Amino acid sequence: MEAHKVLRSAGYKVRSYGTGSSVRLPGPTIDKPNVFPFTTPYTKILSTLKSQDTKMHKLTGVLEMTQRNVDVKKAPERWPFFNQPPQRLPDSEWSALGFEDELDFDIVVTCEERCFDSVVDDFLARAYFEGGDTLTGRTVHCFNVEIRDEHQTALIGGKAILKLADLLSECHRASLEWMNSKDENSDLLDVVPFEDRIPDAITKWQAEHPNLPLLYCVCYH
Amino acid sequence: MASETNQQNEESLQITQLLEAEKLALENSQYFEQILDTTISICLGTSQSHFRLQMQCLNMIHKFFYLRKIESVELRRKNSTKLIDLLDYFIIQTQDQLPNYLIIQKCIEILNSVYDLVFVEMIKTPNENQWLKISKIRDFIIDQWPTSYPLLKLNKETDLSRSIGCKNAIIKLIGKVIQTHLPSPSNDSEEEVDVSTSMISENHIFLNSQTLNTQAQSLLDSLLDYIAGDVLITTPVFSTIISTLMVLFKTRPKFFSSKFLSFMLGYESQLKRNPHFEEDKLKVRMIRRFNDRLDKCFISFLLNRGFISKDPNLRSRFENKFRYLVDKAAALKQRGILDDSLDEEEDEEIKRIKRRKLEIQKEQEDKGNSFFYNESEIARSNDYKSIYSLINPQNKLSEFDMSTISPDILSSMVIAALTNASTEKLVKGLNIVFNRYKHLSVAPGTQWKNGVQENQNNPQFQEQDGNVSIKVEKQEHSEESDDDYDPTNDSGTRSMVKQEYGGVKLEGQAHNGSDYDSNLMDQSTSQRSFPTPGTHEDDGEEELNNGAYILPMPKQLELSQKKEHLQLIINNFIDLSSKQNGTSAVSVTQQADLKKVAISNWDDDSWVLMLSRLATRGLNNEELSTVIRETLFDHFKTDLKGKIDGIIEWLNEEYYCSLIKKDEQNLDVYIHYCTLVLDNLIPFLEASDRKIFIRLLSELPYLTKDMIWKIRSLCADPARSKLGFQSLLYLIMFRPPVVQFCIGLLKDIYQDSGNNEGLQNECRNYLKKYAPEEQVA
Repeated sequence: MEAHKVLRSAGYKVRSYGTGSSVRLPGPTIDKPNVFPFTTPYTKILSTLKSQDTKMHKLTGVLEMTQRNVDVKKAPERWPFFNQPPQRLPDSEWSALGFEDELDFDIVVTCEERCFDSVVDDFLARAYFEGGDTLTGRTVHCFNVEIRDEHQTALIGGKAILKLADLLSECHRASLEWMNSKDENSDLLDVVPFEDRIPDAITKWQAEHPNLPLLYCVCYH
Repeated sequence: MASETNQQNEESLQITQLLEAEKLALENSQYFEQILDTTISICLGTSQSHFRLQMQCLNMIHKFFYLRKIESVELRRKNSTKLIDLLDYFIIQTQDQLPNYLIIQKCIEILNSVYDLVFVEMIKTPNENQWLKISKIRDFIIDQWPTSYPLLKLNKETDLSRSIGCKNAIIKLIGKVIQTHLPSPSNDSEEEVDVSTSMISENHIFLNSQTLNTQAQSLLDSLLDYIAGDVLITTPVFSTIISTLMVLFKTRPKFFSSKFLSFMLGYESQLKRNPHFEEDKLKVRMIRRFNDRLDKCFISFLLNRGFISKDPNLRSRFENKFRYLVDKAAALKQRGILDDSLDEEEDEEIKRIKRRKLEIQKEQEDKGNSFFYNESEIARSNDYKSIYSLINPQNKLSEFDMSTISPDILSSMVIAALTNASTEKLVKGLNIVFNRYKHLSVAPGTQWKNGVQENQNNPQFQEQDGNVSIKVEKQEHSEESDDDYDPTNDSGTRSMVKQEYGGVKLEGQAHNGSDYDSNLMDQSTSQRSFPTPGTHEDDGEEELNNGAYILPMPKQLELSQKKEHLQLIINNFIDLSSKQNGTSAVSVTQQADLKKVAISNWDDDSWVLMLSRLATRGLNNEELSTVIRETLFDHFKTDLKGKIDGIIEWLNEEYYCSLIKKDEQNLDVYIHYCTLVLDNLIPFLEASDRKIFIRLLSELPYLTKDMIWKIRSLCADPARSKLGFQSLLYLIMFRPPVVQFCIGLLKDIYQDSGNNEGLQNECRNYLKKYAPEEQVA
């Protein structure tokens, strides 16, 4: 959610999801986590947390994170897994931002390898089960930036994800620059298309962020 | 300027109208057909210079078909054949004009989306011409994989990770073709559900299931072979292949499942070698990590969804691989992605396999499969740098100004480089340069294209009724441009070419850059500066401008240097003799036309003729000729018996050449080397060498008394006397001019033989028979 906030502030169109079966937050004790179904409004989550041991929640940063989330979006959503009941906000919440459907993404960034695996698995499942019937072949570039789930690390990770998004945007901008150029031959001869720029861009990013191991693959839906 | 603005406004207006039309078609499908027809005609009627408009048209069609914004399959199918001409125009007809990357990518995706629809249409309403056309487009595109199409090529392995967007689109197209060309596992007759060759009736007039199946199998194998190849595949391409195969795994399991699973089980990124010219270790390590992760996701998908639960053995193998990948990822994560020590810690087996792959790579390089980074046969612009450069443009060396090096050092460097380069490498490099020149000379449309594009922004540029006139003239340099001349910048060029397009009228076209006609220069017409090959070099610019540049004469070589170079030439010829075998084919016509040429067929001994001609008639310096003769003799001396053919060839040439000299007929050289040959041959002759020796005596054109008398040692040797007397007998019988020398020799041996009765008897017999007048006891 930190990444969602940072990217949105930078002007990107963003949606965020969880990949688990529900939203799990630290509870009053280690063996009693707070479990909320997706789409539970953050305001409700916040009030639940406040009704518990607030000192401990402040210490772990959960209270602060939830407060931040209230400002970012209405409620947590679940990734639209293939053939599973949707647990997300109505499309009307997002259509104003220009999202055409639930998978209308150019880039997906996950923050845990487990989540990356779930998303890739979902796209593989779509390729297998939907096959040539409804699969349009839209491309989505999936990345994982491994961030530990705690407040301070999330702040650092959010900035790193923003940097990654900026690099990818720059690749896209540079590759399309020739479109408005009068000298079309520059494209014909030495243009480097967007997809060709990605490996070098992410290598550069990884060298600058050695503690955030990256994963990448291209998926279709 | 005003007309340009008007054009831009008009284009923007058309784009807006297209967007509105698109919205209308999506909202109300009854307008779809009409809007599609109009869009196609706009797209085909728009010149390539109006790229934005063309792109907008294709975007709309892409949305309708590829993104399936028109939901009705029936509607898309009925209109699918209309797109064939459009695809043919962009992919086939304009392929020589360096196609636009985004347009080609869109076209491939559109082709992918309509291929099965057209297939169904061909079954319902057969139209062979349309099918042939789309088949041609399909084959053309598939043939481009896995090159860098539509980008200009660099080299085979670098190109594997270039043009990824189009490459992925082609992979998806291949997947679609495979799916369509293989029979569906179900007998469902609803074509929209699964289009396949199962739908083709037996009596279809041109669609043959068998042929299409074979093609699909071959494409499938090529995809799987690509995964199994030696080189590490970049992640986006690897992901796309997996995704495509995943669809086939479901739709065509009968033809595919076991192969796919075994290929994926065998995939090991660690065994793949780095692409040639890829020097970024981190990038390669990341690609391995990404591919391994996708491999792990794929295996996890198979295990968790029960695809291989029926085969415990297979399941166990996949589980083992899954654990291996998890451990490998954990180890890498623990060390950190920047730590390359894991690369060094490969086990012996992996190291051995990698070493073998490197050896294979080296062998392939030796065969000329890959030598240069930039192997493009099309120059990126028409300057010498683009024509001759074979290195990575990012390489700092490409920025180095060679003209700062003195010609002497430069020529030494070139000679050293040529000496060290392998023949294959040199030939490949020269072929690339040759092809770049060829392309520039035979493709004026490409050559001038840059100029045409820029002229559209030039108020002096004239375009009327499709005919474009460009006046290019030689003009004086402006003072500002003199010092900062940039060969890639039109503004700094010196020559102008006057040329008309469309009307096929060329006035003073400067193909070679130097032979334009200055009479055609016309200051009063619109002007267009244009770089021409040959006028781009900074060196000698002033001379070029004055039209009086003269290539400086090379320095005269010292005699010792000449000898050194000559020795190299001779050695090369002699080396050649040890390598060649067989005769090169020469056309009959050539033989007929060149009857008087000494060598019309190059065979194993042609080099002797070349060198002996060079020694006798090719050099006007006796010392240099002697170098050749001595080297020739030294070469023959190593095996006089085995090289008798060459010796005879050479000595005959020496004799003939001595006789044809009108001023002095001097056989000294011939006699000298004949004597040397005999002196070095006779002591080593054996009784069994009769044929060789007699052949030599018979084919040497001139024999002196001294030469004949060298046979004496043979006659006196009990072991070889038979050989000596047989040789003398031959000479007496078949070479009358030397009979008296032979008789004299026999008499001399007879008189000197003393107590050797055998020798005396032999001589007596010959003398009685061939010289009865001689009184012998």
